[in-house]
Amino acid sequence: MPKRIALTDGFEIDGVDFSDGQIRSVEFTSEDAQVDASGFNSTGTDEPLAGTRARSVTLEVFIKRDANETFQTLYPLHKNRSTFDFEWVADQNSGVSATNPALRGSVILPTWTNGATRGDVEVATLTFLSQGDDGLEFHAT
Amino acid sequence: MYRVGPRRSYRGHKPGATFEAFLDPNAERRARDRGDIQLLRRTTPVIQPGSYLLPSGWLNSKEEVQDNA
Repeated sequence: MPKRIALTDGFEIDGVDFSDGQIRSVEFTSEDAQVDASGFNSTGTDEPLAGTRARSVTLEVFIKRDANETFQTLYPLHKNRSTFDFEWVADQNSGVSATNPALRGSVILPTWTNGATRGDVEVATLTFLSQGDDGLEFHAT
Repeated sequence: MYRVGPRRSYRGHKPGATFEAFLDPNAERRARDRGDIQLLRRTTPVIQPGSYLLPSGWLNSKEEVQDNA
């Protein structure tokens, strides 16, 4: 596959399409806890085991306060402690496939932060945590 | 059956489109509260008498079970 310049990423949060300029960055993290299972041995090497797995996706979202826009959609999801669906595809103009997989799953939004700086565009950095058995995973369909 | 609001696509359905789906009750409530979708009618799936076929031999096997009981 060719390298790509990220321009046409698509997002759906709680079913709502946010693929029209509302989001400017995305970062998915999947991390296993490293459990030290090392014992004394002749070479002194470590033996880490993969422990519990935590997955999250962090977005930089432009705060727009119009009806059906980012603030009115996303803040209630945090306020009401909701569990909701999240989806990200690299190319919103192509169908979901093995070469354009969708990161999809149930998430929560446990932290809400947004502020403003004079002269700067208002952006909130929001981290969505994978939730339950249907948590974040890449899907080819 | 739902109609998508005029501003934003919902679960892949374009603004103004109608679609049939079974939505999670909480997701449906949030979407309706936001005005993302409008409930047109609620449908309950039913099997109408005579609208289905039983597997071949199914009735005979049931009768045998009843006879043995």
